[in-house]
Amino acid sequence: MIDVRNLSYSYSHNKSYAIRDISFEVGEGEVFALLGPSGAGKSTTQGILTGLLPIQTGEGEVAGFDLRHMSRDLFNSIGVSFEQSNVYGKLTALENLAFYRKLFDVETEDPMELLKMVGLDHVANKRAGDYSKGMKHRLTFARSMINKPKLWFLDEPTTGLDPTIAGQIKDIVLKRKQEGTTILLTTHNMFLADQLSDKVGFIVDGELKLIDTPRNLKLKYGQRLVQVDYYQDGELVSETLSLAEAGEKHRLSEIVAAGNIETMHSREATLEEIFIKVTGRELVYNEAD
Amino acid sequence: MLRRILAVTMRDLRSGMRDAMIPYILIAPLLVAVLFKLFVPGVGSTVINVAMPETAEPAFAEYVERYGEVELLEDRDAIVKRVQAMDDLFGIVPKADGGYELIAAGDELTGTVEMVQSVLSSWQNPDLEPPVELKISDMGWELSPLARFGTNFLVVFMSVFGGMIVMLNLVEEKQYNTMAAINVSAIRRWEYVLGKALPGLILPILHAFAVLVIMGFTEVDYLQVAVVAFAIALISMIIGFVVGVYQSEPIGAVASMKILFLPIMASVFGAIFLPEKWQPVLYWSPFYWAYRSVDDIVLQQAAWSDIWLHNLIIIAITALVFALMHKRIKQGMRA
Amino acid sequence: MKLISTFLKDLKLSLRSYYIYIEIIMALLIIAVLLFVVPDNMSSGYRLLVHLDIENAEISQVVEQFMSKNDSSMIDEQIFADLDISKLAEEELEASESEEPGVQTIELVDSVELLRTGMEEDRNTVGMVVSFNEETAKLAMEFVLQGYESEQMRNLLQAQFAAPMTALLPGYVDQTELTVLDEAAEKLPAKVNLLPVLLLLNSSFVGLFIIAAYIFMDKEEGTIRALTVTPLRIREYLLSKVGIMLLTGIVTGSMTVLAVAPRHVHYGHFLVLMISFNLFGSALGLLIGSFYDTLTKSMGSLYLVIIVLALASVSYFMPAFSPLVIRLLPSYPMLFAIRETLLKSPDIGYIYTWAGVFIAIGLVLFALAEWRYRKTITV
Repeated sequence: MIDVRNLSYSYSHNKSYAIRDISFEVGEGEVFALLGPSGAGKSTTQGILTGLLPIQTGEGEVAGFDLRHMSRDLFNSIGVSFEQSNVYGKLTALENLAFYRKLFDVETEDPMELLKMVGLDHVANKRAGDYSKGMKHRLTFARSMINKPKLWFLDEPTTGLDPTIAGQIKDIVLKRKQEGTTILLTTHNMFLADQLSDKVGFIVDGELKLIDTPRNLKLKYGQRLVQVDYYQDGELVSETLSLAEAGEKHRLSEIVAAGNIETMHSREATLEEIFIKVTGRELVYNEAD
Repeated sequence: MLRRILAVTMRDLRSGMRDAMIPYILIAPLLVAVLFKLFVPGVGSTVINVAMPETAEPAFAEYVERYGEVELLEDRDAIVKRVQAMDDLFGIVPKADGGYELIAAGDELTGTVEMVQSVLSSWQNPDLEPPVELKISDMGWELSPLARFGTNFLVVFMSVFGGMIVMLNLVEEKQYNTMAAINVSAIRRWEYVLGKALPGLILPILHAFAVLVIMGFTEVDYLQVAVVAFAIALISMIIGFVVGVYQSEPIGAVASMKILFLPIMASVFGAIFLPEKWQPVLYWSPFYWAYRSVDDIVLQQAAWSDIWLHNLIIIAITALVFALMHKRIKQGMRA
Repeated sequence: MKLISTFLKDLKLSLRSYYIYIEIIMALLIIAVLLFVVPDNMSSGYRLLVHLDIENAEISQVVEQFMSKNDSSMIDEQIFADLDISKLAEEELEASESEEPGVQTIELVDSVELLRTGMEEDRNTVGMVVSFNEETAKLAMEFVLQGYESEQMRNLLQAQFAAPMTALLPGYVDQTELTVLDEAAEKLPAKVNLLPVLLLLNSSFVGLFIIAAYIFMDKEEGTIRALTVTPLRIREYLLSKVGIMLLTGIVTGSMTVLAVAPRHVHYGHFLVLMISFNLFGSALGLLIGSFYDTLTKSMGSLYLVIIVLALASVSYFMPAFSPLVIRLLPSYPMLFAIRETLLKSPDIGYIYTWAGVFIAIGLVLFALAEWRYRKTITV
């Protein structure tokens, strides 16, 4: 679905690149997550792939269309959900979708159905300008599905949403994934990427540091840990021990032998911990998360 | 294709109806035309105004009324005070000796004092026949210059509102950041531009018709009007685009549009007041050529060849502006 | 202190947005138009088309007849100087054109038909047919007007031409005594005379155009809510906007007047008027804006008010047209007050009376606006 090689982009047309030499592939039906802190180059990459930014160096193909010879027909088969909601404030949610669907040549979804899906059906006839931030965001998200895209670009789809709604959005994405939609997810939310994606790419300072499946990454970079809570002299003590260290493995068997264990869990390293380990950088979170 | 173009147009119209912008832009110019229409008969028909004491002979007052408007005031002091006001008004106070005192403020338009003097002179010499026979006839043109120039001005000026609609709709897209969503839909750029431009192209034509009807020009060639209005709408619309894609807030956009008022005013007033040899200083202005066409149409002496020639010039200038600006417009529409 | 820092914030913001520069560009455009496009003498004069319905030889005969009947020197000087016929006759009836400003172009045509087509080509023309009436043995002059002219105008024209000729006749009396109240009254050059209208609309009423937009912008961005939870008072918030308008008005007004009429303007008086009228404009803009919840809705009313106020300029340019409704418009005395500051000997009393009046009205309007915004600003 997506195949790009050596993409570089500079907003000021000089040596200061927003992204540098990025190459990756996304197969049909795959969910690929571009992970990285704010300003790493995720949106720039997505911008080039969706034709919002003209390609400068490198080459690529998106949904069968050459990025260098972009045709408007491409947009019949892709959908884009923007990080910052952008809907017409003076129109109602229903009018927003009704307008947008007319811009496509392919079969489109019923606006009301979409609104139901994202839980906005009860305010379908309210002006979008009067919506809360989260509602506008859901409307933007719903709009991106209107042309039943084969390739779906999701930019921070759950940012700023309360956990219940974020959960609903996640379910919608998972359902589409099962139906075979290819998805490019850009986010700094590692949990979301972990839950949704088949493959992740770590992007920092405009460079794609690594691409792999979440499972491989955890196996490769994550230590397997055991967290054990036990009583010692009447007090509850908690310890996290790595199964990779011989000394800690020994310590674990001692605790088990003593037999005063309250709880014991094995724990995998999170994608976030791996990200920090690989890139040496923390992910910057929005206060909204 | 047509479906998408109309979708954009209808969206703009719907959105414009929401905050009453479209009704205002639609009606405001017509309101101005009605105001103007009410105004026209009064302006210019009176050349001199006179104030005289209430005690003046009624026959004399009646006589003066044949030449100008007469106000009757209490006494000489009241008249002097009235003459000193900012408008042009002369005081006439009969004197005891049968003569008259003519009171002028000193800042009246050149030649008007002499006019009042001649009126008084005829009154004082009723039996003298002038040695030359004087007659007055006319060509039968009822159209006053004010109605003519004013109507022309309104028709040309209305084109701004077409540009304004285009601009405000673009600013709305910038404001809500929806241009990005448009850019990832299947609509082609020219379809989008045309859809946006449509109201701005049609509105000035409707406005031009309405103004002419309100002002009572029912006999003019409306096809010619439509052709000219379309040409000026084109240039206003392009200016609307240039301003619109670069402004993300209505305030700056409205202020930018204000700048457009100036070339229009300069073109129209220049065309009216500048002597023939100075007219070429306005040749750069499409509004000047539009004005000339509209003037011919209003006088019902427009030849299609002239209309097409003027339109050709307007479109050439528009094309030049577009060529210079199209890169900026394109850039501005990207984000 | 809070007022000053709010003002400085607003100033910084407005310098960053296009808006203030647009006002300055507008002023520059006005200056350019006034300096380079508007000629010193606006009136292009009208064309006089004359058809002489008499043979060349007859003219001299007629002239001789006239001379024998009347005092020859007077006829020569008066009638023919007025009508320019003698000059035309002398020049073998060739068309002549005067280059002097204010003097109309006189052209001779061979027939009444040519006269009429000539008038059709250029409507800024008056026609005249001169013939000789054998019966009365008098020259007959017929003016051909356009047709829209009122009865009063026609009568005036007739009186105007008849008077100097009757004055030649024996028994003529003229007991008119002319009193000119202000002998020193001066007339401004065309471009300076245009200034009051442009200054009023572009610099004095800048707030009327735009101050409401500033408030709506703050409302839309939500910054207004942030401000209302600080100790800043609504009055200070509004005053700061008024200050920006004042600054913009003074800058553009001063630029214009100093560039176009540096030798005419009494800058001190001018400044006082600008401050007063600008305050009035901003306060009125605020008050009108307070009745609407969005910019576009308010724009209709604001522009209508501006157009109505601009009507005063009609009476400013045509002082003979001054119906009461126009004289009651605030813009009417404003225009003339600004004009006074451009005269050699301005009427100080007039200037300061109106400056005072509009400051007072402005303050009242501002108080009303403040009262309205206190209720509605966060809604």
